[in-house]
Amino acid sequence: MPISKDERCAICKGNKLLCGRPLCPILQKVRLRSKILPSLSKDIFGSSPSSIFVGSWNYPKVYIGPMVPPIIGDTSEMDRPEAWHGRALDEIIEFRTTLVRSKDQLDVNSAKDPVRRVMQMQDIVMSDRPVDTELFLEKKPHFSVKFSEFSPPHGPSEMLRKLDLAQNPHIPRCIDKVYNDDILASEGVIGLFEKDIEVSHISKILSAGILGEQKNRKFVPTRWSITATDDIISKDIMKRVRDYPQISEYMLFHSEDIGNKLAAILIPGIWSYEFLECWLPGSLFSGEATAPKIFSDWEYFSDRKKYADVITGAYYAGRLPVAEYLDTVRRQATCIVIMEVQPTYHTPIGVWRVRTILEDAFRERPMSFCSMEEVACELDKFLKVRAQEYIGKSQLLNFKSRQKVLDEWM
Amino acid sequence: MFEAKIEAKNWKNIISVIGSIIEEAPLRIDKDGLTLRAMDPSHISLIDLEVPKDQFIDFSVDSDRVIGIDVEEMSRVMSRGKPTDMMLIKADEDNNKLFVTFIGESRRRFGLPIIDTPEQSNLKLPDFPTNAIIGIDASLFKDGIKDASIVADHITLEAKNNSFIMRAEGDIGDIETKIEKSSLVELKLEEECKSTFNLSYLADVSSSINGPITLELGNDSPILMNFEIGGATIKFVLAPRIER
Repeated sequence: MPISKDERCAICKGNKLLCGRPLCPILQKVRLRSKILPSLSKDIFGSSPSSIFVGSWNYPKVYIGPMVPPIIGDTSEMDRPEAWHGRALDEIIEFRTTLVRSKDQLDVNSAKDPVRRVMQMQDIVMSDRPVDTELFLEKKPHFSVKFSEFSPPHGPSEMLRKLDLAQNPHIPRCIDKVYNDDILASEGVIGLFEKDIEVSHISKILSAGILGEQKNRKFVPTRWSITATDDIISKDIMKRVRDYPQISEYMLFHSEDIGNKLAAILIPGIWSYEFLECWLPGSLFSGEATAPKIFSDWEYFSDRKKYADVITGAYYAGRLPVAEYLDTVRRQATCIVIMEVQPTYHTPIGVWRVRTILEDAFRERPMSFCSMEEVACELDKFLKVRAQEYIGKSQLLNFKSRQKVLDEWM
Repeated sequence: MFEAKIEAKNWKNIISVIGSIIEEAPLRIDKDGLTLRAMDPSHISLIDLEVPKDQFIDFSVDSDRVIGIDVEEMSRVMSRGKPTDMMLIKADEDNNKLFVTFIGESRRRFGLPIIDTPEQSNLKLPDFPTNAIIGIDASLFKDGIKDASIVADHITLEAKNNSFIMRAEGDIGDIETKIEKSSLVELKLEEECKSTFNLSYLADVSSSINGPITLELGNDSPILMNFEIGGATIKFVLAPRIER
């Protein structure tokens, strides 16, 4: 007997996994909740991993505040995706749900004339080490078991009454400098990247309204700031990449983590980039589909003029490591990135994974090939969906094979 | 020494059409005026532009030279010009700078770096057979392009039986614009012909055109568009897309 979607959970009760997920999201949340609830109270004292969350809901009057776990000590890795490669998905989810999100409703433009509390938040974010912080909340923070496929798991949250820093933040000189500078936010982002500040830290700094011309400073919702940072840095690198000579053979890089397989194919040609993604049947966003569906966004040599609205954030998160690799080897290439998501990726935790998995892939020795057919053979060993399926869906390769160049008539 | 005076709005339009094709432009300047011929880096399109000396209000140059400009930076500067402004362009090659001065209620001077961009001086115009010449008003052409963009990323241009047809097919449907000879500026047909082109190139380049466009069309061969913008005579060539 077929079971309708709304009856499914009631009949299953987490035992039968009728939804096809490898674990029950409701029970998972209950488990996380019981773990963190005992340590919660109206006042939270802990070391903030220089962490802030800016919501996008109700923009421009957004909810903003530092995130503080009820833990004192070196909490730095709790909000540092660069350190998460190779960790279990459950462990990463636990990091996220242990951070208590405090909220203050502020206009994004109030970043330009920071009041004391905003300055305190900015101090926490600028620090490159955890800052002991005390949150005085309106109530004991609320941790809902509501589970959504579409939003990453969130820890408990509550309105902020008072904020105290129990420690001086440790602010690197280059961060302090951009705070006092009066330059465009994009220049600030690039400057910090060149000073080896980690990408995740830069996006938090952008989010906290620390960058930009003094008169234009704004808070940037966390979700937007992550993509903006990836976009700004990769565009700057791509300017150099377009002037490099082309690679001479096909290259393949791949790696996987937490149920996400990523492959980057570099093809001799001018700089262009495509991101193909496929959620395998049974995985989070595949819906009721029984056959794998492949989607993509792409750009041909010049910068995109429109937001990559099919792939969204992952498009930009993937473009950055590709551009960085080409810049390191001083070559340009046509690059196809393929992401295949397994059902074991049961809870979405953000696009940072695309960047870190590809960074890992580019650390390995590249495999070199003479033709796309050879690349496809090797890819078939790694991916579940046949490489030819992806190649057939590639808008970039399709464009390249049909579009003529003028040289033929010169 | 190079110095020229031109209406700001004309220069703005010229820069905007160049910017839809290339990011860096080697401007060749000699006693007859200003010319530019360049292919985009992917070799899919080519622009050939000529601004004769008499289109400038003042024009003086002491010897032939090439001035490389970053088109994006230049268009940012141009966005600051007012429609009634006059504009003075002056090259200071010793300091590698190009000065752009808007003359209106005030004099506003912007200094831009002259960039080193290889001149494609021996670049020839592509040579391809033309079967039809179509003169069409820019607004009709742009409408056809915009319609096609709804369903596809490429468009087929066809000349036959005293009419010009713009057709696009995509996953969600198809669109056809048919323009009879009577609504065209001209139609010279040697032979029926059709070719398919990428829409974004056509859309970018035609967006700044007002006035008539002359199209030279062949069979599965490039298209040549002739038009004028801001006193510049422009030829734009786009390679076709081959249907399988």
